[in-house]
Amino acid sequence: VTLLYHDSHGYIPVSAGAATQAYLEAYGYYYRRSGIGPLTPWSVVSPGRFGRGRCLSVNATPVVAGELNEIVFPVGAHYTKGYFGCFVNVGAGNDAVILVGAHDAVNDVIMLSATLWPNGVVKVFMGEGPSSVFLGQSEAGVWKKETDFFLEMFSGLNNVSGACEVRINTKPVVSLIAQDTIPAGTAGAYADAFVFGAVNVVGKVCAYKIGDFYLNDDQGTKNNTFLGNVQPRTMVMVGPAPTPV
Amino acid sequence: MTIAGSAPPATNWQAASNQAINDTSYVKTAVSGVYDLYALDPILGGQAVHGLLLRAAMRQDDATQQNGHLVLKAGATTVEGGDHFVNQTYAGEYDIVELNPDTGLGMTGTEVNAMNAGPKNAT
Repeated sequence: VTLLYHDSHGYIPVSAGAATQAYLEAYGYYYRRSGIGPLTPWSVVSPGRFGRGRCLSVNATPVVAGELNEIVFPVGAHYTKGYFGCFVNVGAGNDAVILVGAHDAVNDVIMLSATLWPNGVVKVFMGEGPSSVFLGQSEAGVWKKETDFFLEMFSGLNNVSGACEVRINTKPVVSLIAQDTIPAGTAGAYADAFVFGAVNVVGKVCAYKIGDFYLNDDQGTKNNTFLGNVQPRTMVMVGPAPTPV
Repeated sequence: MTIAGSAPPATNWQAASNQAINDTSYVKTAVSGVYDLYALDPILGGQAVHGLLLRAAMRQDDATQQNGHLVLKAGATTVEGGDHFVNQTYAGEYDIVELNPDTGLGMTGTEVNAMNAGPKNAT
């Protein structure tokens, strides 16, 4: 199996705050650096990408470091090369840095992160965003606020031959090779989770929507590369099976 | 499986469709090998499907370790995923399917529309 996880978030409760958190936690997401204060900003919106489904929505101004910071989803599989994709829409008032990346759940370390800066730049860091080691960036204006776009990230973890590519709507905007992409102190570690959230959040407006996740590794013969403009969908049950068991 | 909960609806698929993931309604069985299958909302077109993720929230109601499986029926073929050793609180369990179990080939949306899925006690 090379498709490790996908989620449209199409079944999360249409309510804000605790219900959304309970749903996420029941399905294995956990809050990193919690100190969770303003839960109510968590909500879901409809429609999501392509005008279908729901997604997660954040609109808050944290006052304590750690609030609404990052959410991690462990996929239960170790990978050193993986492809992560998600729909993102950054709100007009956002002035935090939105982050997606590969995470080592055992060490609780973000290995490699792609970050969205308010001027439309994508920056890639070894580690957790701006406080870690800068590796490269895109031109300005590769993404826009209040515009749905599909962000994909390839994470190749290696001390010497690490690599990263970030694509916006299938177009590469950052391509890095021959990099050290494993933070110091985590040698031998793997990515086994994906992470999303915001950094530089204290006192700043965090306003973004995110959903429609997929995560692959590069093993096998199917789904071992960027999937492009995929659309995860949630199918719910609508009746008994035609032939009762 | 049987319908259970503090305010369950009348049918198994409705009882299992509890978005709040609590004991208001659910389906249950203490018998190993028993499973349910439900029809899915046929919302897909005929396009290729990269993969299917089966997901359910499951729990056990005492200290005896239970093992839940997720069952998928495609055409005449019924398969089930790996072991999910459940807790006494609800936790989401999932399995990934990348090929149509009935054909061994990639799936289309039309094929997925006709599939059935459900939970199983595999203890």
